[in-house]
Amino acid sequence: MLDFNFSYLTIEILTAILGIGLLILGLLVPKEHRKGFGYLTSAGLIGILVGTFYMFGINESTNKGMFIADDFSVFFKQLFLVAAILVTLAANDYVEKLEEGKSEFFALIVFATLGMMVIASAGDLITMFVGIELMTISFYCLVGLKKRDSKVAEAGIKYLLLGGVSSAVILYGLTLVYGTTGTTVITEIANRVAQGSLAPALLLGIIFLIAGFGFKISLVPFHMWSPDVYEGAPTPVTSFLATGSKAAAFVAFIRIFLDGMPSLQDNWLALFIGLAMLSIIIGNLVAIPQTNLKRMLAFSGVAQAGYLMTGMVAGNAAGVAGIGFYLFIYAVGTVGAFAVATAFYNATGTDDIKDMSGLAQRNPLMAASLLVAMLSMAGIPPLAGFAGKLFLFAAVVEKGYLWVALVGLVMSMMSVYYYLNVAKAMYMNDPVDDTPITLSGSMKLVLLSSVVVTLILGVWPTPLSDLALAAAQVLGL
Amino acid sequence: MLHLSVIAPFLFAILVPFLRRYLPQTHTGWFVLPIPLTIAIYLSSFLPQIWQDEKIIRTIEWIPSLGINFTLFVDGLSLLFALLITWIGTLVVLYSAYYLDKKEALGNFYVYLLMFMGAMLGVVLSDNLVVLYVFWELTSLSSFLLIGFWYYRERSVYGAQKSMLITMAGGFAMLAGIVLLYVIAGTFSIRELIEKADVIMASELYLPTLILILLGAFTKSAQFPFHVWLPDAMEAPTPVSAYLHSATMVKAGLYLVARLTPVLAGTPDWLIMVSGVGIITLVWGAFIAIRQTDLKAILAFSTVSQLGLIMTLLGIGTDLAVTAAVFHLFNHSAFKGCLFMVAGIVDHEAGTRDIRKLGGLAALMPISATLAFIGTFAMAGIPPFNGFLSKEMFFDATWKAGGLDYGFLSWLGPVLPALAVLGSIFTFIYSMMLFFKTFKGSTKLDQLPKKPHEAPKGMLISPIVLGAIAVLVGLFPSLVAGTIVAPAAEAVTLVPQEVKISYWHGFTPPLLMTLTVVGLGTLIYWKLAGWLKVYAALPETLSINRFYDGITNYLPVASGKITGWYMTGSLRDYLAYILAAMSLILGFTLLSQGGIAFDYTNLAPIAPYEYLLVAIIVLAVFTIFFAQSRLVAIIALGIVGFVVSLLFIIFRAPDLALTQMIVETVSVSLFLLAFYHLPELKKEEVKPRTKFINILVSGAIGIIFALVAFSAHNTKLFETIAGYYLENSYKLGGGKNVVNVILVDFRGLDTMFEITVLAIAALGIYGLIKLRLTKKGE
Repeated sequence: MLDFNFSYLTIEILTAILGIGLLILGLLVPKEHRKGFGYLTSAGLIGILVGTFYMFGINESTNKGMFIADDFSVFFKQLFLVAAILVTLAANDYVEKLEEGKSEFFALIVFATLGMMVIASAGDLITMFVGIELMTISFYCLVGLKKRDSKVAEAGIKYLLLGGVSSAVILYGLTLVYGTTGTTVITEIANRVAQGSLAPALLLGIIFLIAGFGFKISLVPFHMWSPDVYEGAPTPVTSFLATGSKAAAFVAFIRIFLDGMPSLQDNWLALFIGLAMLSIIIGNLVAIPQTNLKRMLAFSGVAQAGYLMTGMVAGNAAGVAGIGFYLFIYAVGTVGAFAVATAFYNATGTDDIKDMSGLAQRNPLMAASLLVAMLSMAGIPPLAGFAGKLFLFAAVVEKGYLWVALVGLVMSMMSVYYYLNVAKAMYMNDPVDDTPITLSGSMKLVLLSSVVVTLILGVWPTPLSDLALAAAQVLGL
Repeated sequence: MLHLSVIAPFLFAILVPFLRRYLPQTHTGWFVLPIPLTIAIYLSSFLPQIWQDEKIIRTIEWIPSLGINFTLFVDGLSLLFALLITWIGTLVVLYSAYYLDKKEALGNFYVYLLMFMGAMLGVVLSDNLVVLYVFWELTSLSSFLLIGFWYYRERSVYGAQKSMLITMAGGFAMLAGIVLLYVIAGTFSIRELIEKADVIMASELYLPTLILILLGAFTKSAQFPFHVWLPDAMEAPTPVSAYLHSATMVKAGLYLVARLTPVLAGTPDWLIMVSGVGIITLVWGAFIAIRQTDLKAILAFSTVSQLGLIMTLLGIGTDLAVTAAVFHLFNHSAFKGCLFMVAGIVDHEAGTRDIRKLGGLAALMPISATLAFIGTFAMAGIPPFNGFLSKEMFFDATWKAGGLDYGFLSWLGPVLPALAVLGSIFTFIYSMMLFFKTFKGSTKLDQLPKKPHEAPKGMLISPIVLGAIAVLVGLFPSLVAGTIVAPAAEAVTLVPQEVKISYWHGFTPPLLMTLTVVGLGTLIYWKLAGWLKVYAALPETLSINRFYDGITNYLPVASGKITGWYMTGSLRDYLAYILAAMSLILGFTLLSQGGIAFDYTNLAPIAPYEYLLVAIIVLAVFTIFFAQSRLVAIIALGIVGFVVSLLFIIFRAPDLALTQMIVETVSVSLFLLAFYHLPELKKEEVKPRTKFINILVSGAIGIIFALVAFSAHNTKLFETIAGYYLENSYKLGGGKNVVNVILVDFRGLDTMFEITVLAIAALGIYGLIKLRLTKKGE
């Protein structure tokens, strides 16, 4: 009677075991010996990442379509895992300095990853919501982890309150979708929507969903939380929030809108274009005067979300592949950039751009990886960001929205300005304090791999883009 | 192999830091020198094939899914540029080995220089426009790094940033143009685009495409009004100025225009824009150059002006004009490279580049003076140097361009030769200034930081080679006419070219133009002090530099204002923005989709006490709006909740009412508790405006949600599940209370798990409290 193939959930089960295991281990090990949890987590996640390669090619769903194990989900699970691995590696030093929550930090990262995976595999709105909440609640805890720090506490409260509103909005949207289509299974929704007449309530539901997910993606005008939270939250958490959470929300977007409501395209497309344009323009404009690196990256993240939305506007396999490719390189680059911020904060206790003066002399690797990450985000060839934008814009031009791509290009041009300001500070200004900054081994590994991946995928993007395209084609767009 | 010649500089660049670190005694330049030399020799071996009218194409797949392949393509035009890049590159590396001290950051210098060389080769050899763009931006990047080489000088940093911003902006415009070309013709390949030229010309997107592509070319080639970055780029070490900012990189824009001539040229738009901008640049650059006092600044404006000259020719686009363009481009690389190197030598030996302090150096540095003589006279267009020949062709081309179709600017045809003469007069003047003020006249040794003497021999090799080319080509133009100029011109015009360059054509208009230039030029140079007063009359505020500075200064301020305006950090503001945006979008959708509908049928009658309850709710809501203290507001909010639960009771839903009451009680008491524990909040008056916005936003969102609820209520697309439960709860579940049956029977498993979860949560909370208590007890 129970049509449930547990083997499809292997990856999720393993991740859950890892998370719970970390929690239990944290209780068993005496406080003074709690070290190396980060390495354990990274090792575990790498093992799971290897395991995901066996999940390719299933392309089945189980439990009446509630859980889908297709190549699309596997691709994004790998993306989440790569981001999580880099984040845990970069977080070691930071977590060592924490007074409490050393083991919980890594367990929460694992749980958040699990939530993202569930979103990627969700074939049903309720499953998806469970994934979203698992991810979001883990993030609430992570953001407020250093609760005795007033800045962190402020960020935590803001994220909790606004996040709560957005979850409520998503839930309301899901309810309306369910109410007007009579099902929560996404493939069924697609069928019902395609046949039935269009109820205004369904449109309203769509708007609620866009608003709610727009919050998670930090699209203008739902992005206000991100600069404050990015700045206040512990930097490793910020980097995961900026990459994993955003990517997961995009996966949800793709599943619900491109997979579930393709026939309603005329209704949601205009809104998508509007939000994409607003995000690209405002994100880039407002990033210019920022003096704090994390805030600047937050606004540039808003703009990046806008670029990613152009893939949604394209709405075809090429667009989805573009989103997949871009999210991957964005994750690698952003984690690299935030890793620099983490290391810099560990050494100096500040995130201000002016304090980064002469970073190239204090630690060339840090300066180089931040530069590479930023130039890639600006879309300067031959870095991966350029290839990513090329895929996205090519898809949207193919669709006939030339001007969307042109606006994207113009604003990319503008983004060079604020990235260049940081580069100028790091490379051309004299250091305030010229003591060299030393990095731990794992931090070096993160920075190096971020730089190398960004360079290689820029020069030779085909392997990843083929993978992304294969994943996108599974959706049958 | 061909690909290797583009990639080799990048690969070798990786080695440079190691060479610098482990072999610091040897000047790194000597290790780098073989790279451009080898590539130059290898590329020269293609010349015979080009003479046979063969084209060399090599392809490596890059992003096949988008039709973007790393295809390299050698024809006359690309080979000319590739040879300039590598041969002048060789000379520049040789020169730099003497020019730069071993103490400088040589590792960085040669890494950037090699990066530039590879990128530049990529630009001129790529067949695919996207690949071309990739390399194009790389040249901007390496130029940025090289200009900022002496990063501790503020002017260097300013110049570096300026060049980067302007050229990158142009680059993005060009990319947009490339995308448009793709939209029209469906390919990124230049060869395929040429085949589809008629489709492109006929397209309605032709004009925007043209403008965007030209923006890229104009910014890169420092055309008016984008030329402002080039003079500031002179902060770079002189070998860099000689290489990037006169001989190669700034010619990339010319290359692009020449390369795309078969695709885009032949329309009045093209003619007006390319020639118009070119001729303005020619005149303006030369005009401003006269005012400069820094040797390199004069050379920079002179480069701007000469690039304008070549751009004009490319715009005219006749066979003669294209040949002249290619020929002058070659000549300019020779004499300008030579002049930059001499300027570098003067700077190196005399310690200054200020022509007001220099003078009479010919006696002290005879070889440099001879080279400068050749360079400046070639630039002024005086025989027997190469500049004379190409300038003569330029005059001829502008003279004969009168009959072309200038569209709505028909007066431009006759004016063009006049402007050409005017620009050339200015060119003549600054060329004379450059030579006579530096090398002739009285020496002012007391004003010089160093005592000048002739440069080391090694440093002189490169300028001597370039100077010799200027003389040789001047004397024997046939050396290059058929071998280099003709194949390159053919690649642009796509028809075979018979290039014959000779001195004497008889008393033709070009000769008269040259005579006018020399005559008037000499006259003005003689009265230079008087002429310089003209500049004082120019309005300073209109300068383009001010415009650039204004934008770069204003941008952060303006966006800072936007940020300050909405990124207040206050949660209330954020919520207000988010909710306002949502109610706008929702409201718009409701209106446009006809979602506002009230279904009055099938409603229960409304009892009088129900009106009363609703009135209480409304009253409580208004109390919240105008409450002075937070406590009152919270209590009023509680009243709303309690009255709603009363409504539930009236509608016979006691369980719902109970739940609602518990929730209300708990939340109100939690609120009160929290306020009890919080420090006393500042009792500042809420501004009426803030309050008004609060009311507006909350009112809007409330009304919208009510409308959404109505809309949802009206939508009954299918039977609800309620009917099933009502029918079957007694039949199957054996209970009359439907809710109970659903909870314990139909969804029994759910309930069980829910209870389990609650129990676990309760245990967790108990544990937390217990832990806390024991901690306190310790």
